[in-house]
Amino acid sequence: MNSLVDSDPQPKVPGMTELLNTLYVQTQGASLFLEGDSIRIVIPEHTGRNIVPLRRIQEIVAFGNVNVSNPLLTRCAADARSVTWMSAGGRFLNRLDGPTRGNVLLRHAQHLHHANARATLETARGFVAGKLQNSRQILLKGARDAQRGQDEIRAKAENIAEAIIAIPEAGDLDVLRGIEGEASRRYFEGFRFLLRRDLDVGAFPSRIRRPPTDPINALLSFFYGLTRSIAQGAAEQVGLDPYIGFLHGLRPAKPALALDLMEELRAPIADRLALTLLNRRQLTAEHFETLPGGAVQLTEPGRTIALTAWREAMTKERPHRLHGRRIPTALLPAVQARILARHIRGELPDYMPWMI
Amino acid sequence: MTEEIQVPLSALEHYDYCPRQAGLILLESSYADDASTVRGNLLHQRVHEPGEETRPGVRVLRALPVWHDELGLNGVCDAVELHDDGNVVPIEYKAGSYVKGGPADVQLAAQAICLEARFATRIAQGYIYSGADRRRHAVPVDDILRRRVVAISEEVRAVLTGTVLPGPVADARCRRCSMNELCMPKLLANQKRYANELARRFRPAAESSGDD
Repeated sequence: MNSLVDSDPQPKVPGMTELLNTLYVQTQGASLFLEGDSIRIVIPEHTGRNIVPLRRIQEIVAFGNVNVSNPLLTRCAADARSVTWMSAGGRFLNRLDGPTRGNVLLRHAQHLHHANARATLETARGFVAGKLQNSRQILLKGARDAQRGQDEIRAKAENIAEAIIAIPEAGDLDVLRGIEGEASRRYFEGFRFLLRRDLDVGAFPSRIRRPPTDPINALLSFFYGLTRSIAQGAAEQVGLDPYIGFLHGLRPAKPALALDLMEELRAPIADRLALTLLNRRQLTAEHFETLPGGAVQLTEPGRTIALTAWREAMTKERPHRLHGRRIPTALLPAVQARILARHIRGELPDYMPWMI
Repeated sequence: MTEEIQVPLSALEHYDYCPRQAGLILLESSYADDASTVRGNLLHQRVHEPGEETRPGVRVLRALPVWHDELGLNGVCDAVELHDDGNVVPIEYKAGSYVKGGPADVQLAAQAICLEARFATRIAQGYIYSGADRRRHAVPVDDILRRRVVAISEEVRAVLTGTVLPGPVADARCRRCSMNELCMPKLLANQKRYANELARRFRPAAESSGDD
């Protein structure tokens, strides 16, 4: 049981967890069943056997009307394999993750940390710094590639640079959130110029959510839902309470810590991917539909394209300066949640966000 | 009344290997598997079918719960041989190769001490079965090893009583440790580097030339 001995012929890369697959199910009316040590997927009007071995699957993400049998749910909970439900539009609905992990000292420390206004403010600064640093880099990269508006984009990046410098001076959370909100507005003003002009999906008005009313916001919301799901999973995996956040205030049913952790990931992961898919015209107007009342969402073929691209993006390795190596995107939130956990347990002086 | 904090026998081995590894398991309920721990689990699944079998002159008890009130130890012995001549012999199964004088010896000696209390006997020797070479290795339960058990038991109890994790060792042990990722020994040991990184947070970074 000890790691002292290892006769493994292929020594594993130290500290590298195997990146297992996420099973995304988005065919409406699909049902998943437990069959031995496998998942059997039944799709109406499709004959033939669809079997996926459980041991290759780390989590299941179901979109819209997908049934998961009770025996499969129970097995997933027992194996610490999460099951996440999203609306067909990609809004996070809920997540099943088995028993709460037993790290009571960490969770207690997290509550004490939250109760300390100064500690909360210091940690929240880290999340804002990560978000603004990475957003700014996306703008700067976009400015290099953009067909138009390079000066405007660089001006917005400069606004964000000023906001980054102002973070340590924010005297309380409200001021800090004000800096973040203002920088975020600037970022999306610049983001507009990163989209090719001749796209048929319409213009990007500004960030609109709950619900998005244009294709670009619909795509951003879809990827933010997925980003949130990996951030929340990371918090739970590490043993942190995903609802006790620092930048985001406590509200019932709001996973404030998951939202904190996803801030630094939004621009480089979700926004970059949305830009790529739109600018390469892999997603066009035909991949979006407007629901009665005006909400816009991806069509099923559109979701397939977005999910395929997302899965590929999750396996892409990205440099992590603190660890001095490249880390698959899907594991980044867990790496950051661990750094946060070590900070909360008093082993690291402050939270250091992942900066691209 | 507070209950006496019991020290699990397996924790003695973990602590002797690396105090922080024991701390992560005991205080943070952390555990990470890798190829070698999975191999260990599979081996123990076979060994840990409670029961007994009989060979001429020997009864073998499997997955036998044992404890020691005075030292506050408890755990489970993989296998215990009860010989007709009165000898009681613990056998601990390890998936990997045997390291003489290593942490497994401490665990085995602790088992022997518990068994001595249970069976009112004296145990001079036990064995570590190594899955790597499929051989038994004799471990003499001498006074030096017994003192090591007592000392480590006290250290483990001190960790269990407190809330602070022992610091990272950040040495060659970490390379093979399945808990490396949870522990982050290098990152924690080099706090100067971490402080330098922290200072970067609030300075607008140079334009990244990477592919994002």
